Amino acid sequence: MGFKTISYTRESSFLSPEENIAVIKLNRPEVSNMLSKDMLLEIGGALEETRRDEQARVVVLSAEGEKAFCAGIDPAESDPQDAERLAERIFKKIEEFDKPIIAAVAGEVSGLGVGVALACDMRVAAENARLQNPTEVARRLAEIVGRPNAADLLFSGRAIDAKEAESVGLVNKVVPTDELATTVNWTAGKIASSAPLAVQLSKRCVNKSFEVSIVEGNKLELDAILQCARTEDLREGIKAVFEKRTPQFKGK
Amino acid sequence: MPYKGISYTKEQNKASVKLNRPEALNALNRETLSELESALDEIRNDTDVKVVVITAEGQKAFSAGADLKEASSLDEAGVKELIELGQRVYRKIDDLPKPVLVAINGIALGGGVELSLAGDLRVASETAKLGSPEVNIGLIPGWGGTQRLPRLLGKGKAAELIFTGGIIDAKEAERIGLVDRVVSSDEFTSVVHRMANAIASRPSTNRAELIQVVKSA
Repeated sequence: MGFKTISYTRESSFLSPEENIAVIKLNRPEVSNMLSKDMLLEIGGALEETRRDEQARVVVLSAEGEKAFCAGIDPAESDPQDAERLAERIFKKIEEFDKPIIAAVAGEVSGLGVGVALACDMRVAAENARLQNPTEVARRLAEIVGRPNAADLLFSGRAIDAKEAESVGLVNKVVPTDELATTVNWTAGKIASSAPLAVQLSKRCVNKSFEVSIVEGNKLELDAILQCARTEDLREGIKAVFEKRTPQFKGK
Repeated sequence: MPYKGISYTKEQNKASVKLNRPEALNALNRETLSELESALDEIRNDTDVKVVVITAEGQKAFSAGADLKEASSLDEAGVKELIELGQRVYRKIDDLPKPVLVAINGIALGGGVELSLAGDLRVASETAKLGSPEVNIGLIPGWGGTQRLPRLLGKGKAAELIFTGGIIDAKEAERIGLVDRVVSSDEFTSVVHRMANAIASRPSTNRAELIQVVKSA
């Protein structure tokens, strides 16, 4: 499938020659990778392609250029409210996507551009990243940084740099700008080498953790464990522990 | 009541539960979990007890997690029982109406980390290593890890630990909030003792207050 506003490629990692990492890159650097409706739809299309692709086990969402990850909704859109609604639909799709998604952010991240990053499971930032005006993403922000920090960021509206974003837990890690791609590839490689069904099931449980009680959360975990118990991958994983070798997971 | 997999002692108003299978890296089998449950029931009804310390014998391991040898021999009904047993015991720690200090004296993996999460406060020896490597063997954290880690660390950091299965050292665990304080291994036992005394002398269930007590003890 040919994309115009994003690029979609596959990558291998230091852990495996297999190209098991899907990389979705926002590709309108000339307008700070602002979100147009076309771009949002193409992100959705690329995720559908990744869903069907059994070899792809994890997704990296990044952007072309170092100046901006994404500066929010493109004001050139004829119906910005409609674009915002579409954006929320795509964020939900990212959040609930079976395979983990890592955001790699550099430069300006503002408005609903922050929303893109927050919808992902985790975030790695370049030193030059600046996050500003997270709008309409209060729930996700609170789940990531806790309510007091979320309130501070939302009410003050001030921009924060990568270091501060790291200290409040908004990003998992800050790295030198030229090391962003390799760091994210390393993390993605680790996830891609784990048992795929277990990763998917754990994402589902983590996603529910702020909605349910511990008792209900425990039930979700039990259900997931019993699904894992029926996989070849678990037998292989346990065998590998006793044989002191690296397991070879097949996703079965 | 005589225990095999744990030891339980009481000194004035401090209760101490120690995992006691250092030769098996304090791996958690059904017997150990059941004993832990009995000890917790005893503590719950003991009005003298003002603080509970959960730790483990030996310097190498707090707990390597579920006993894989035992777990891998179980059929589906057995697995279900084991998971529910661990979940129930950890919820009993969670629900204990007294502060629970978990002293992580060495490596804590999988079910070992999940055990620590059920407590109110975590102090780690500088030699400790922590992680939730379940996905690396085809499992998920099933004793509350997927629920308590996001609540404690935020969703992003919990996702990274769980999805990568990575193992981190005590300093990094402190940076991300997985432990409240790191102590050198020589001083570990005496500092934990001091912390327990400090908590017992001003019982409170407010976590923010308790963290201050632990940091200054």
